[in-house]
Amino acid sequence: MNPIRLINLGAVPPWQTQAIYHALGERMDENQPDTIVLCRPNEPYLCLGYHQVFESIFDPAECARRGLPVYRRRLGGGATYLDGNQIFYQCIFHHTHMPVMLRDIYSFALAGPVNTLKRIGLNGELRETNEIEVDGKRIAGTGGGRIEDAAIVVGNVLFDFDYEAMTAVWQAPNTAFRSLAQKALHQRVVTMKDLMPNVSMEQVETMLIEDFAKSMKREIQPGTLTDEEWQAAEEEAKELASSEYLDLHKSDVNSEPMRNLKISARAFIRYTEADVNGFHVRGTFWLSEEIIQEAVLESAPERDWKSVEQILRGVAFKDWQEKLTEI
Amino acid sequence: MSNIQEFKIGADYYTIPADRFYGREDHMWALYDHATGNVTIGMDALGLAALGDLAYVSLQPVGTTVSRGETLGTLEAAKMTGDLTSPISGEIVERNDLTIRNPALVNEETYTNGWLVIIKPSDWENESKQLVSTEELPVWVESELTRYRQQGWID
Repeated sequence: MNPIRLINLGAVPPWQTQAIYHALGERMDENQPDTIVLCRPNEPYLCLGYHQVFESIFDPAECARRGLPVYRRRLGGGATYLDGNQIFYQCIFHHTHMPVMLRDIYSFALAGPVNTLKRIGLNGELRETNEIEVDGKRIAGTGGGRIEDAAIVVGNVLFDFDYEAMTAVWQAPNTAFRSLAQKALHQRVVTMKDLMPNVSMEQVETMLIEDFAKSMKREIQPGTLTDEEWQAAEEEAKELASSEYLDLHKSDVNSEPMRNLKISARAFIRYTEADVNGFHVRGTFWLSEEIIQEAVLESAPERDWKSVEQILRGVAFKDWQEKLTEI
Repeated sequence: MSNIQEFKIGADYYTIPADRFYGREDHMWALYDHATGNVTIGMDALGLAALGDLAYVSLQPVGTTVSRGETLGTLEAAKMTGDLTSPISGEIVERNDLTIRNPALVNEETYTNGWLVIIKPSDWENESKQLVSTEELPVWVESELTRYRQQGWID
């Protein structure tokens, strides 16, 4: 099999970090090289997963106030805040050069980054099919998709993370949701700055290239993008940021604020409402494997739910209403 | 449902009923309704086995005209997206919005309530010949399983 082409872009404008891999995917055929792109954005921006509804995820006014551009990627996963403190790796391969089974695609493409974390001295592992974690905490985001004949897997390594900016732009259903999400994010997401502050981005980039070559059992050769590829990427960028593309799926589902947010492989924030014992209860929960870690309850008519919130800790989420009825 | 082809991937068993046609590469099933002349389209168990549990399904609106091989919609499983391609040409006359609201239906009731769209075909007679028929089913399933093994390291 031919060597993998490496495109190491360094710090580039946000549009390039999304549009290039889309363009390479669109143009993929048996004559195009499998490619790994390494890059990072020189300015912060937001990125929406393909099936997410913009208004349910992001507060457009807050995004505009912060001057954050938004792109929708054609890959899966959740909304992300991205900036120059993150290294992106993007594997764009002909689909016949990747496994068929989805879990194997992730194992194949993410073995390199996991090994890099291990070589640095961190306890990196792949959990729940596609989450890269260190000691149970998330240190990276991942996603993937099939674009034409290309199978694509992307991910990043967090050197630092702007927790405040990420949580501020979420379209949260209430204050409790935002504050629980912020708390969970701080507890379940970890960065290189926290764990290995002396390791540089350049060191990690070098190790990633070595580890991709080793895990994929293929040679990696530095290359450049052709003029046609650059041109295709510029066209892709226009589409990914267009209002028509950002408005996708608007009519498919209810565009209410999000009610479920994944923080890491085993941390979710969920909002729900129920009528219990004459109260209309609005519950916000931090769940780990469907068990309530923390609950915030509000109701109409109002009452003090503090003691009940304590009792709900450790209860299965599916039983929370029943528990309230008992209490 | 009769003549069900059963196969195993890892520890799990999957079924391919022989009462319908299948796309050779896209793993979409097509069930012709002799009363209406319409064709119900869904995704087959082999395709779903490769993906796992679906998290999202989106479908083209009713009235959309699709050609064979064009996208009927998209899906997402474990943060990975893909196209749902049409095994035949025609006009979408009905879509199953239940699968948009609850994509698990496609995994759980693959050949019944997990259907995706109903198409009024424009050339069923010719295009159905390009699909996998009942007679070809055992050979096709075996060849796909071989491909999965070679490309996917399944047990």
